[in-house]
Amino acid sequence: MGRWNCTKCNQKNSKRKMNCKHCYTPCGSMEEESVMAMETESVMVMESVMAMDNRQVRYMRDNNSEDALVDQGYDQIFLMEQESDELIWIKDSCNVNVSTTDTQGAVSLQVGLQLAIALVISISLGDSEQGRAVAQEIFQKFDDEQSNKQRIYIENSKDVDIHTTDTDLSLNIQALLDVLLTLVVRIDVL
Amino acid sequence: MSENPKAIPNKVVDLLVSEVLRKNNVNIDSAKSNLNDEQKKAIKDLVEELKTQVDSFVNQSPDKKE
Repeated sequence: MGRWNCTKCNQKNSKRKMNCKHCYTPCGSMEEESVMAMETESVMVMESVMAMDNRQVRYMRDNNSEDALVDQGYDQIFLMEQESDELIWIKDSCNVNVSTTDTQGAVSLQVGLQLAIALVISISLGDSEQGRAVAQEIFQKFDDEQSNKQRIYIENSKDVDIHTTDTDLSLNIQALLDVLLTLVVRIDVL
Repeated sequence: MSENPKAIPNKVVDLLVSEVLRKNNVNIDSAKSNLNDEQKKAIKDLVEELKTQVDSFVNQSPDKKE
């Protein structure tokens, strides 16, 4: 230990942390060499891992493209983003009447309708790829993003009457119900 | 706005459903035969309950706060 070869003149030196006794090049060549060797080794390991990954990916791709009926994951159909934000600020006022929509109930109603549609499809068509494809296509029509922001400020007022409705939600719910009813009529239940 | 009783015209929904079914080669008669009377009744009850809930939500008198 402690012996090192000078990088410049290849002179053998015995003590660490000193300059080369022949050309006065600073010590450190040995450590650098070993570090570099280690780095190249790990790079090689990484390259082999990547090579394996590529092979696997190619294998998976070749296997999947054969007879894929539904390319998207099934869960993706329920992707629906909604944001409802409501702020009501009442200050220095009296006799104020505010009525708002119960958004939470509406959202759960919407989820209930979606589940019912999926259920009707899966019962009538069976849990087949065909059934999944139909369900996915129906829900894709509702794959939307909604953002609702309401701000109401009331200040220094008297005898105010305010009504707010979340129109987006009620529209969505009605549309889902329409689809469910149409489906059910098609399979002769109603 | 929300007083509008029909969110989407019936024909649009009707066309959408038949188009999706047609596109996926669904045989509606075999789908009908997949259902027994018990399942039909369960679906019917479910749909009717959801329909009442939606109707009462759309026409609800919103909760009052004071």
